[in-house]
Amino acid sequence: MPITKASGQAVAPAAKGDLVVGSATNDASVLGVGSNDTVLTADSSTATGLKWAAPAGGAGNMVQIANGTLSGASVTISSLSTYSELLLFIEDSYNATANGTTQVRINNNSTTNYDQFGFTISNNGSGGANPPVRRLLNGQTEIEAIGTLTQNRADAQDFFTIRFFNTKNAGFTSFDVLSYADGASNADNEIYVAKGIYKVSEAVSSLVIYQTGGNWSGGTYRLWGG
Amino acid sequence: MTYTIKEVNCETGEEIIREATAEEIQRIELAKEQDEIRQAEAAAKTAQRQALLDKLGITEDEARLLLGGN
Repeated sequence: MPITKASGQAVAPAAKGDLVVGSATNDASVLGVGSNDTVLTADSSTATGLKWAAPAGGAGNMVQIANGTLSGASVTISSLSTYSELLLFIEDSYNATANGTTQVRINNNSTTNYDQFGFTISNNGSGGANPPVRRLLNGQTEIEAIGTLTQNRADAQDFFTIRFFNTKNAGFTSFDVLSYADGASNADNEIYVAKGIYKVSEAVSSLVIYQTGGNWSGGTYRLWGG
Repeated sequence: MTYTIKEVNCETGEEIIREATAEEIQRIELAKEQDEIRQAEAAAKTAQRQALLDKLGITEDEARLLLGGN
């Protein structure tokens, strides 16, 4: 059924599923039906302010998309834009030249866009545990595993896991962190649990893993996406 | 020190190992410096705590008991 615009012109759907939508004040136009399984989405850059797009949805089945040895000063894993969630495992990493901590950046962004709220539990060197210490890290330049890894310690059993949420679409990406730093002595072991947010509205296309001590001497990474 | 960078493309499976650019080296060195400062601060705090315990002549567990902690 045609709709008459203020100008007197008529606008009418041409096919099943077409919509007549406002395109400006007192103006209307036809938005053709989208592909099967797409949903109507607001988009101010289009003539009608609407578009048909694949639903954002949650993550599908997680599959391993990368794995390997940590080497050099950093490892960049790219082409991640098709995944809604990511899970990164970093294991047994160590460094020959200096003590350091393992850190991760999204899209190689090194500005102060990472907030992490969590706590650490460490031991006191005589078999007991220290009380949890809260760690409110605002405006960090990276996602950080709390706890220093001792240089040249090939037998260290540290790990660092990060689960990223909402990585495919624009909008902030949140992340959960769990790490364990296996220090040189009983007094250096540290467990860290945190939740964080990456405050940039963009999809995650790459992750950069590095250790502040310099080039890695060992360790592995595994990345899962879904 | 020479820094190398490993790049892994998940789509193609391609792996490249290359030397770090000047900008990357700058970032690595900065992260290293910041971490060294954090480590030094943590070590200073530990030393301060130990000095205080020594001054009081009590152990860490005793101090915790005194303050009502776990």
